[in-house]
Amino acid sequence: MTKQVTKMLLSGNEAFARGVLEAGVDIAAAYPGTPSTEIMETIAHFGKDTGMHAEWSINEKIAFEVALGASWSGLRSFTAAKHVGLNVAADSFFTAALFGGMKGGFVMVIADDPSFHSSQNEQDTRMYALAAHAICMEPSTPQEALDMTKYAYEFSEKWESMVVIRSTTRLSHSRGPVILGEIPKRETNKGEFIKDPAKFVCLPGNARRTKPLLLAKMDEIKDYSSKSQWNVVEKGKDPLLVITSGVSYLYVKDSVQEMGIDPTIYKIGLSNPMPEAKIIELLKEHPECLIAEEVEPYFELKVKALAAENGIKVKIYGRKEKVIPISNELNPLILKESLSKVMKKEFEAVGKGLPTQTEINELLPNRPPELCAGCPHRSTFYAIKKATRKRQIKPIMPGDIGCYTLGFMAPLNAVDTTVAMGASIGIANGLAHATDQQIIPVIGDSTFFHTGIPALVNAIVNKAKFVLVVMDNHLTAMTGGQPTPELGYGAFGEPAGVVMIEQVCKGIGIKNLWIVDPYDHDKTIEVMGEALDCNDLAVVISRRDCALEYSRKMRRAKETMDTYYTDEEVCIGCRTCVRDFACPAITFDYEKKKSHVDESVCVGCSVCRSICPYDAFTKR
Amino acid sequence: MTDLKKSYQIEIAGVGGTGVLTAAALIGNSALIQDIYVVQSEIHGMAQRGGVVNTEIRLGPVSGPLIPDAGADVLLSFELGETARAVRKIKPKVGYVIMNSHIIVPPSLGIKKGAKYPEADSILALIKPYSEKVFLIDAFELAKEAGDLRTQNVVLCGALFAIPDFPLTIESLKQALNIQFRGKEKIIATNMKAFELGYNKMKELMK
Repeated sequence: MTKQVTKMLLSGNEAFARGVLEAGVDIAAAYPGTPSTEIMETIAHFGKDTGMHAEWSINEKIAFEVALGASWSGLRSFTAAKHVGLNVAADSFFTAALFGGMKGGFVMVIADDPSFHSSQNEQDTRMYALAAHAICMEPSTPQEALDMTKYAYEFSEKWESMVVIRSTTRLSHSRGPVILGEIPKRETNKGEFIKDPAKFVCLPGNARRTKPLLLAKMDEIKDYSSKSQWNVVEKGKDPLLVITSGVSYLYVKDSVQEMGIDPTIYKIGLSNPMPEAKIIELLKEHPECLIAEEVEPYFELKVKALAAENGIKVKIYGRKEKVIPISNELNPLILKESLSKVMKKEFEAVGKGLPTQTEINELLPNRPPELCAGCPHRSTFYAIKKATRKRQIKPIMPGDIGCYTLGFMAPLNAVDTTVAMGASIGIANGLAHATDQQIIPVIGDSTFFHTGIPALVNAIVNKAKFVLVVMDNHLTAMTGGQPTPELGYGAFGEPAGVVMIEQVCKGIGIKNLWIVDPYDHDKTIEVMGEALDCNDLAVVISRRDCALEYSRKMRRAKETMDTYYTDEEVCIGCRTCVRDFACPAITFDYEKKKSHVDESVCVGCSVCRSICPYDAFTKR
Repeated sequence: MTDLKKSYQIEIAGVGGTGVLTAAALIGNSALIQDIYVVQSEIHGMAQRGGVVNTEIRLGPVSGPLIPDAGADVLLSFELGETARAVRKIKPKVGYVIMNSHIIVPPSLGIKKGAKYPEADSILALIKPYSEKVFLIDAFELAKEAGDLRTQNVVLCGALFAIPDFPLTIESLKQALNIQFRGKEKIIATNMKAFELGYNKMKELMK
């Protein structure tokens, strides 16, 4: 992304980041989450020398508040999160939307995940914007992601409101050619906070006075929305009107081209407040209307209400008519089918008479995501299993959000609940009071800091008994390896402050605390046993670098890793390693009846040595 | 502007860690170099931990990032079995299927006693009804010959560029390689060798 290059193939996320940099943003803060992570990564990568401040915050709420504080000080600010990250930030989000006062432009990109590619739910950020009376925009392509982000800063400053840009996985993680602009040179990145309590103190009196002002402002923007450059009518000859936004618009375009039809398309880029006047005008001109949008019937409900309120005779097709599926993302095939239904055209399903996907999937082995070879989480889970089995305990294991959620998979089957970031410890609090069962919540290091700490404080205060296992791999691993508070470096790779998990635990008064290396398998089993036996609130920090990061480090240092192989003289073919442990480096050769280590995958963790009952694994 | 009159669509199928995203970047940048409009989609995150990874590349007059079923001109597959999982994307009869004969056994297969990776013939039996142009390439062996097993993806890219009427040129691919691995001469040379081995193999198979 140097100046002389004018066109690059960028992902939606990279384009958002470029927009942020071209808008001269001074402060950017985020917590990683798929599919939004690369926005902040790209800002940090290319913003390093601009004099801006960029940070990985501890959670999305704090990231939001960092940006809000900056905006209230007159600086352009930015935050990004995945859709569920907005839940964490929602408390501040609603009130910030109400009070406004954004002196420096405040833009946030929230990436929704229709089809649950990497998420626990499918919520629609536009509904949040609607509920909070926040401005919302929806780009369709990487180029629009860049252009809209830059525009959103001007818009935010004009209305002294924050702007929410809604992305989806298929925009954030798709690539397209993007024409780049200039990244401005900056003089200073210091603003000034000017006291104005009526504007920034959300006491009921102030809030009561502010609400009508917000509603009046949103009404004004609504009128503007009908004329906005981002809400575009593409006039067609067919009597059908299609209202659409985001990537759905692209699928409509693809389908229309392929089917050789010519409906009028209304592409909505500024989607809250909705361009009501323009929608009414278009509904009057068209006898039929299809609404193509992803996740919730956000346009659909409003468009139907507008038609009814204004007595417009138009047949509107959406989810209720089962023309657009109620869940999962759209795609060009779905749109083709929907358009065929509405236009009463023949729709021929493709692939007739060919092997079906079901037949194909039946033959092929499943490929669920798995913990990597040498992953310390696997060793920790395995040690917990051994320690509890020895005591004939069947523990309940509330899990959390991170790579270790994959402990859910066979053969570990070690995760009993997963709800939200930090929820393992919260749910453990409830289970501890509700049952006499042994509770072992597991949480990662980044998630512990994110929302785990208050729940652990709660356990001390309210006397909940459980053994918390913090799987500390020194990284926010699932999202690609962002730093955690223990590492001492920031988003740019610059030196940062350090907070250790044991410091937190000791500080809040955890009396039973162990730190153990999960590669030292026997010791980990022993420590888990002690923790279970103490019959009190206990914390075990299982600490070992992420195996992926470890192999990266070794590769960078051009060092070779230790590897292990099966001593076929010793292996009796009991299959314990593949059946119970399931390290991806180990397979089983049914002809030889011996296990086999793929040494190109092995990272030399040596745990297979400890789990093999016959000591068949040998160091190369 | 040298944009295409008709769209050309490439589905890449593979497993996390087989270089699907790198291959997509090489092809995408080749298109950008030739000023051909290109959109591509990819899925990151959880899938990368040994899961299925697919990428779609669409060239020319297209809008969205997804290839509809029966829309791909080429299915380029980095793992034998994964070819079948993505085969519905191919344009029936006319689409090219270029597949790695190398297999990657998912570790979860070991949990169930006696569970085996299916025979190549039974996988091919599911693929062949979709296309008459199925080409099996042992990218593992060719990558080994090139000097780095990680270049299997580039071996298969070489085969892709050997398809008659393929819209991207070797010249732009070379430039894309130089962008991708800027300054790393040795890696570029190894990848170029891998590319040529794949290219020649495909030419030979098409004779």
